[in-house]
Amino acid sequence: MYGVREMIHFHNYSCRYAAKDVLLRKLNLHIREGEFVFVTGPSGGGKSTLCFSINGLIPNELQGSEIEGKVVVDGIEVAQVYPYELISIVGTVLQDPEWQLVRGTVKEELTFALENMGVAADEIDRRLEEVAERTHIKPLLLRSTLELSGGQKQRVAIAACLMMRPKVIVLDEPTAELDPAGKEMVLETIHELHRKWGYTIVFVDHNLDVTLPYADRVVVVAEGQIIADVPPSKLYDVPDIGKRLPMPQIVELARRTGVRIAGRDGSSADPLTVMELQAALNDSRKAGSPGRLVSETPIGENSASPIIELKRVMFRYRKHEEELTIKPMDLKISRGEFVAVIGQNGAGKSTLCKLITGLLKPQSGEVLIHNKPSAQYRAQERVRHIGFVFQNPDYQFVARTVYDEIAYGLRVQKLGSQEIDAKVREVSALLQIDAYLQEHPHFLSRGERRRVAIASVLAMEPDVIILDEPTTGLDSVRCRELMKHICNLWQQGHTIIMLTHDMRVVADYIPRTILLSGGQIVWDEATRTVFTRGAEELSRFNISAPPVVELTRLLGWQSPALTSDEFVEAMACIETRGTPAEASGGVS
Amino acid sequence: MKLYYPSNSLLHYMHGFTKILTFGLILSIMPFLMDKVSSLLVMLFISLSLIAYIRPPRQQRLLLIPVIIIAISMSLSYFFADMGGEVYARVDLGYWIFQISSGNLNYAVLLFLRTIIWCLLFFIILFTTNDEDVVIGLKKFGLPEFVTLSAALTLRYWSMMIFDVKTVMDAQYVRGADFRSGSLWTRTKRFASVLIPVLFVFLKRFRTTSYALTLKGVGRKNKRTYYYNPQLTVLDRRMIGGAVIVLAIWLAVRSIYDL
Repeated sequence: MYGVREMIHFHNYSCRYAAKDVLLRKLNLHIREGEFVFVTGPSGGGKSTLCFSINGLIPNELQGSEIEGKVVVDGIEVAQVYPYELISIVGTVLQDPEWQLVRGTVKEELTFALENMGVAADEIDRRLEEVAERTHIKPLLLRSTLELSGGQKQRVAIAACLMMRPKVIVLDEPTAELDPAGKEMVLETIHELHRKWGYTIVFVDHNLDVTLPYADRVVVVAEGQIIADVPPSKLYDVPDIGKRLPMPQIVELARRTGVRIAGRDGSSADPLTVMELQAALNDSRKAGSPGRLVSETPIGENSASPIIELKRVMFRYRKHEEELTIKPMDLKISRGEFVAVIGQNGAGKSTLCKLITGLLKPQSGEVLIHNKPSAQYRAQERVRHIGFVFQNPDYQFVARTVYDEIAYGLRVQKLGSQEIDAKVREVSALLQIDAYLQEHPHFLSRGERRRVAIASVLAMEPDVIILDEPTTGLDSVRCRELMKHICNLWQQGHTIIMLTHDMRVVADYIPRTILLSGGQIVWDEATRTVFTRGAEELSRFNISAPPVVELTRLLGWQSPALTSDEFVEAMACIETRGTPAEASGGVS
Repeated sequence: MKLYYPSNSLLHYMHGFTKILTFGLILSIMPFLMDKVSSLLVMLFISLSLIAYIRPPRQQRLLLIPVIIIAISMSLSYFFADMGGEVYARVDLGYWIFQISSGNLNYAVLLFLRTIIWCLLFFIILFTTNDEDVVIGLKKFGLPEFVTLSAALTLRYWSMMIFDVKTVMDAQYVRGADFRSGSLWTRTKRFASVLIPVLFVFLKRFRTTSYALTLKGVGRKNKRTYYYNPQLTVLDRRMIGGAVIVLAIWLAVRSIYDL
């Protein structure tokens, strides 16, 4: 797949910022031409610094960065040239799909860099034809970049890189802000570019479940150092790596059931795809069906009175628009429920939540909170019932310290200072941010900022907390930590509504799932029932079930295991009885 | 919101430079030189006819509502000044004196008409010219590269910036900060508090854009290629010539008849 020529070389490379924060320490890394290198690790570990050291933004663009050692790309020492001198060698795709596109139409975006380099118009024409063909974006060329979906925007960003005919493509978390369809689109594009056209790929991401099978090598960067540099199937052979980097579900299942496969070099390795694990399980004769797994309390049998009720609610953003954003909708959510709202971008998830929080008023129908029409609540009263945590916590922060930020809503409610202090300390302890109370909220890590945003809403003690994509962009350790906090809140009696694209989070933690599509509720049922549906039915709504669900489906189980624990337990039953049978415990 | 919409009017086919020169400069000067309501009404009629000719969609037409509101608000300021003439009504409000007089009425109507005409002329440019043509048009005036790039970025990002500001306001609303109730001071404080998250969000956005521009070769010293570089056509030359002639005729008529 890849050649022997060295493309990127980090030689004793260190980087620090503002003369104190060490971002990378004495790094030595060799990447060969045509390799697909997957760079991962905890947030803040130095992954983006590594990317920016390859494309030259460090040290030339990021003021205050100091380097030692050198990075050489295709024979050129990066620090000796300006980043714009490197663009025909290194193409970069950044995380934010909106703000990295700087021109009005796709065609302008593609031609912009070549215009800046002074390339002749007929040569631009030739490259445009070639790149549009390779990345399948011909139908988008004349469209405004504002009209594209997140996945299409990232595909355009990749295409814009290719116009420069780079040898290396560096992607810094390009799928972090995308829905599953967008993620798939980006990964397919990159995979094809690597496989078919031999580009060297440096791909930074947190999602091991999806990315690991595509990579030739995994480089794990933590605390500024490379702690693993191995083939993906050997990653968890590195001692203690699992503590910093939770296993992708397939590897976890394989390890817990004692399954190994033969690696490329013939030695023992971890399976990386559902198909590989299924084949290995079949070979080891561990496959079988445990019967029906126990289902959660059926939805609709919850006897508690609804805390939120929507009665024939309809909404459209503009009166003259024919299409309704929310079609006549009935919905009941009871006290103490934990509900996932899923669906592709544009399905109406955010609009539904804005209707519940009162940010939008329904065109017809009624939103009831505690059986009282939502419109009758004033903003200050409403926050005691409904709290809404935005996807991007930066939209929320108005204060200079975490303490003041959490206290902000309480001060708006004109509570006494002692009461405010008590509540701030209580929620900050609960979400483990009490150590940062005097820090500036904007300067915390992404996971910490999310927790501050949740704390600022939680301090007002709302009955219902709505969270918009709280796990987006978090590494798996922080994602698990955050979900643990959210589950704590649920167990304390809060009603939680979570908008999410992360199906593993849905399967692992959330008992009830609502699927929205085209502004209407398609399914509203127990999460297990949702995932019991066939892959084809799920893919109609761009839902990719978690690997364990896919695996149990391939193994022919009657109902899917939702979590790794369930799977392992059911497998233990199968092994104990020797034959596929009805089992006890988690299985009925 | 995108102001440009594709259509087949002659104005849609013209070069950005032609439209900026004709409607943004030559025809925009004329209302300055008109002191009579009748002259401005003729100009207004011509501007409205041009708007009708380019058939803007409903969304664009609705923009006339805020324009009219702004024009009326600005014109009302004349009623707090003394522009002479016969006084019809006068109310002493302490520091301010509200006065309806023939002079005030005349100036208010003139300002109202001028404002509407200018807005219509700029709408003609923005409704019929896509972002790329606006930038190419500006470039033809000899503006430096960074100015045209700034204009292009503004056209690209302004709707996203408005969206961000609105989201920040929503985020504060769901925390109990109601921008529609409370005393003027309370509301002012709440609006001011929005500026902090807006500033931080924009700083992060602009950093991404700055990196993106560097990685797309902005700042290189070499001569730039203009891949899209339309030339002025006969239609453009006729339009510019026609606008210059209209201005010249108007100046002549004005000086002869003292209009």
